Amino acid sequence: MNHFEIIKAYWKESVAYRFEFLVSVLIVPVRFFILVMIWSAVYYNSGSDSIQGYSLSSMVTYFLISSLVFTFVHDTVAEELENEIKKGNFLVFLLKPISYIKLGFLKKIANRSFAVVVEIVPIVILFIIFFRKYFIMGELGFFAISIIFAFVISYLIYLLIGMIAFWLINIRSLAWLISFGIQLSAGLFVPIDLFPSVIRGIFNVLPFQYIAFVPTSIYLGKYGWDLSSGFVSSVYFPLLIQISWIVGLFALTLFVWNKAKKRFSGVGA
Amino acid sequence: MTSSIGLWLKSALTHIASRMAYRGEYFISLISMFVLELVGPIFTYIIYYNSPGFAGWTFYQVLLLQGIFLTVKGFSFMSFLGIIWNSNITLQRGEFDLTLIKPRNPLFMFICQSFDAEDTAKFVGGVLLSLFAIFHIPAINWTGLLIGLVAMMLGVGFFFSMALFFSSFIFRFIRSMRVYDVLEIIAMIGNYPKSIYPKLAGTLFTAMLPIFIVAAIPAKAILGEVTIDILISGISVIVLVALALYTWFSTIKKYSSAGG
Repeated sequence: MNHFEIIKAYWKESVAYRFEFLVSVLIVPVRFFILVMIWSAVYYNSGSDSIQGYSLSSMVTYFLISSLVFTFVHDTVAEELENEIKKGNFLVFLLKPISYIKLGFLKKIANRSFAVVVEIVPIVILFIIFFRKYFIMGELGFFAISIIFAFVISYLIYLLIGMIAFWLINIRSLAWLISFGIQLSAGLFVPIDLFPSVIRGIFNVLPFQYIAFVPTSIYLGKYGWDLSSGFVSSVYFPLLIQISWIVGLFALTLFVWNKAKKRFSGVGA
Repeated sequence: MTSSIGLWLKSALTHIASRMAYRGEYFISLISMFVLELVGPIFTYIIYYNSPGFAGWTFYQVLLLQGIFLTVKGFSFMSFLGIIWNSNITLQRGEFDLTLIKPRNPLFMFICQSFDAEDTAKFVGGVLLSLFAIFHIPAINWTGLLIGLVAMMLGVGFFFSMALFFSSFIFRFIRSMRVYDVLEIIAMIGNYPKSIYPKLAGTLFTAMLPIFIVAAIPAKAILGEVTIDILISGISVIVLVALALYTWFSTIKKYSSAGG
């Protein structure tokens, strides 16, 4: 079975959940309506066109793009791995001729490519229909590269979270808690440059902003294309940091994975 | 009535005791449940950190509104909103028959079985958040506080009607957990003052789908502003609960116990 066949098999599995995807498509415009109302009220009361460099349009576009990016990189590998370990089914994966790490990644590709078709594209269309005046067309080239890196970073992070189950078995609540922290520091709830500087300093040393905030900032043109204002201010710098995080997280994943497998007893819980 | 309350309490304590068997996990779960609800307050803090916020509302007043919302939502999730989840499970396994053969009202039994021990954290967190906000607001209207408490009870009624409608929907049409997304939307709307919405939306969420009765109206009352909205939303909640009860009981008459 080649990699494409594996992706195709998981794609068929995703089709079974098409109703679930469609519901989210119907709900998203309502969510954006509320966000637009909230931010319109805030901008109106502030009497200013800009809050920390964000106009109302760029703020609303930020929320659209960051939520789409997060939908694209969304990962369920942590809870799936926990389930397999808890039930003792992980043993089956040890017998397969393909590693769990690779299989999980192929599953994610299948699942998320399906989400692009049934979730992301319809949301973009609905957004453009209902909220066109707030939509800013951004930089797509570097953004595309950045979300591919974000996709890999997110997978490695959630895989590492899932691996905690080799030690603790039941990690559902802990995973929720960590996931909340990730979403907060990834800038999914609020752009992280609106946080107080102390908190921003903490977020800057973590990899999570490279999942959503950085790709969205690239889309909004917050980084320069050329090197005239220095390498650090250019778009190449965050892309380089993303690559570094991928290398670092991959090395960490392999290290923890080798330790974790030795702990698996196949008994379940 | 007394025996019903006793049965409900016993059921609640049993659920908590069974979760206490894995107390470490339960404790983390309680923390998670509360922390996940902090999105609204964090979002509001960031808004007020970077701007003057919402016209006519201070940060602590909005925090009070969100604390009230979490209190009502937490109480509802803990007490009866679990019937949505339970509807999915019992429908899948064809186990609802067990509820029907018990010598009590099936809805009451279903509610007792659906107590959610984790959501106690939301309720307690909501109360603490409200108290924290109240201590930072100089002028609390005590008559308004009583009216606010009545409005909060009506807010519980609103969530009760939603629980019954969603449970009926799951029983009658399709198994889906995405109805929780609709509850999330309700929470998103209800977590902010009525004044930020357009007039049409304001009327809709006061009279037709009275989301504002959960927190916006009680918060205003506690801050000393009692309006006709409480009466309009109150009537709407009563109508919704009556409709929801009728829908739920007519739905379970068609229950086939086939599973699936």
